[in-house]
Amino acid sequence: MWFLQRWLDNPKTVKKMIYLLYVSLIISCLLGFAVQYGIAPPDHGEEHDALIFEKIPVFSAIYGFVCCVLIIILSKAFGHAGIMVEEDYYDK
Amino acid sequence: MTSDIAIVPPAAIFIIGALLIPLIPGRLKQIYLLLIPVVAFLDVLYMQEGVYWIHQFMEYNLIFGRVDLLSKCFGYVFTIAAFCMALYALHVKETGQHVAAYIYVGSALGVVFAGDLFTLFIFWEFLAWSSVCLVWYRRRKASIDAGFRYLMVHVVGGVILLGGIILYMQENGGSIAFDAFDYGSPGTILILIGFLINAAVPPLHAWLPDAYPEATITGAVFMTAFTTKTAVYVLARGFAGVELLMWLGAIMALYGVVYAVLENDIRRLLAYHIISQVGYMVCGIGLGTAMALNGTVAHAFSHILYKGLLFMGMGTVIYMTGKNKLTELGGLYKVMPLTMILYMIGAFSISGFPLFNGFISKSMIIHAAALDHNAIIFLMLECAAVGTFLHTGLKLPYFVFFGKDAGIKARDPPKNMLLGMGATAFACTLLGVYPQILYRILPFQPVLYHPYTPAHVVGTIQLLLFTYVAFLLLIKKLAGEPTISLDTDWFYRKGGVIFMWVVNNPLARGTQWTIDATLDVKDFAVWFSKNPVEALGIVVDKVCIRVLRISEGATAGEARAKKVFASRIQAYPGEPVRRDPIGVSVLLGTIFLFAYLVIYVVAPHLSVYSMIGLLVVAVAAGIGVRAREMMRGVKGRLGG
Repeated sequence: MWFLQRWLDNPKTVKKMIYLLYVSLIISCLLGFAVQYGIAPPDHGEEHDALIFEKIPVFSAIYGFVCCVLIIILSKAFGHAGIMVEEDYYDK
Repeated sequence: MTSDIAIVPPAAIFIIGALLIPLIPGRLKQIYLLLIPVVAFLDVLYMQEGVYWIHQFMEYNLIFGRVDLLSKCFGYVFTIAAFCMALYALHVKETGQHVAAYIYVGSALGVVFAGDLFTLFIFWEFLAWSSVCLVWYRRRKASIDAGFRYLMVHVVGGVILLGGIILYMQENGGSIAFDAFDYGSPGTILILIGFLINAAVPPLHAWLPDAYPEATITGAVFMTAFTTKTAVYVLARGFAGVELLMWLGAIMALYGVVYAVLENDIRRLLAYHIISQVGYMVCGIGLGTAMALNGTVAHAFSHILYKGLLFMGMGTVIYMTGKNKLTELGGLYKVMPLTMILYMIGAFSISGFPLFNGFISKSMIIHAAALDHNAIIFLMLECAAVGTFLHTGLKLPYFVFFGKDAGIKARDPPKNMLLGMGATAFACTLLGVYPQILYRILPFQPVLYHPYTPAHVVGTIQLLLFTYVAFLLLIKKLAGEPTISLDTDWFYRKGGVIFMWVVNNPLARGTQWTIDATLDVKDFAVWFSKNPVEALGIVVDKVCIRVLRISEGATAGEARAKKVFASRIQAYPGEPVRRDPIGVSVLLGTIFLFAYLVIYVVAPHLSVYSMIGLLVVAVAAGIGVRAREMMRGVKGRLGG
């Protein structure tokens, strides 16, 4: 698996990956609009009145980002408020 | 196919098969180990719906085979998972581990096909006792301790379940049928609590992240699949549509995510994600619609496969490197590339990437919440999905396989472990690409759900990509910290210490005092009974000496009195029987009767207090007379 290593250790690859990420972020948002307003209307296999935020094209993107940030910050704050203790806590 | 083929309950194949393992020699054992799940799978495959294997026990019918779509679905995945896991564990030399693992799988199948509460309870107990062996086989002190705590929780859970069953029988005229319960009565509430303990629903969950990471490498893989998923099965059958479960499940899904952020032990992090994932299933059971229940079963099916795969991956890392902490690992993709790739398939599956099985099952439950117009549940579950990808899909692989190179010398594991992981990864991907295979066996037919709609695919990709962006921005905050996290097991781990202190100090001392006091009373009684009359005299003398000491101080009289007392104690018991002439006895009797007469005549005219006063005066006078005698050195007369 040397090729994987050489490929990933190359700074150029990392840079390319970052660009790829930017591009895919934009494409995914555009696709969200496309799905909502055009090429393929949302269909969950069963007719139902969608929840209000299912109609926002980039809802998943915003929600994913916000949730991830909140999970990390709030959990760490929770952990540092006394939940995280020394590893030998129970041995004392 | 006829039902004659299915003459053996799948549970029996595993349990009897397990007991025969020690008899199989050498390499044949490995073939045998793989054969058992295959036979059991075919058994499940060819079972016809209906009720089989009914055994009369006292006045009850024990049903070992209630076969319907729901139980069959769990039967399939249990046997498939057992095969993959057995393949992964094939290199383990210790026969006992295989035996324990297969009895464990067998009892899980026993619960799934149990048609009555007694059978269910018996296999339920088997489940706990066989799985604890998988923890103990690791043979470290931490594992032994964690095993005992695990057992303690499950034994308590078993007793609660049994109590619930007995109450339920009383409520329902002795019925032990295991069908949808009419939730609300004390019996059903206790049964629910018993089930919830095994489903690891907070705050009754702490046994899971406590024990699983302490189990053996291969044992932990088995444990991820069966205990919580049998609990999901019984909840789905007994308590579908109980709203409480919907909320508990959604909270549970987030609870696991929060603790996973804090965790440094790689398998404990995954264990918290079991809680999170089972949360989806419990929530689906609470929603109770056909879509939600189908989603629950589908998700249990997917979860068993990908969670097994994830535990295999991280187990392999521990097996090959000997390290289990994020802070000690890093850069392993260079030395364990295959493990990394297979782990990532599991990670993509649990995160719900399109083309992997999490995508087609998790979304059913979330979709069911949307159909129900339950926006809060929908958002909570989506948030948990973000957390899942964040930890198992990003944080864990980043800090284990990439990130800072810890320079660990390792290589990919033995072939059987890779094959086990490969088989599981194949199943995960297969179901992701052809979801109809899974949808066709779900309990509520037809399944009106199509996962690969443009909206769903695009929405999922957005969710995952932007989670990835947030991860990249906050990656520094996510690095493992060398700590452990307090959870609800604190109450019995620290509570246990306090309990032991109470036992060792106040309680033990109190007990010792009671024993000492009782022995003193006994000794006195023995001493006293040797010569009661003389003993009484000695007691009186002792009182007299006290009185003398207080009133006279250290005088020559007191010294003489002490001498009298000492000699009297030395002479004790002496001659117990007095040899007095009859005349003396008659005289004493007369005096006694006269005194009695006086009291009889006088007493009614006196108040209680004056009687007590007279008595005190008489006693004081007696003690005074005797004290004076002792000062003069007169020996006691009573003892003669």
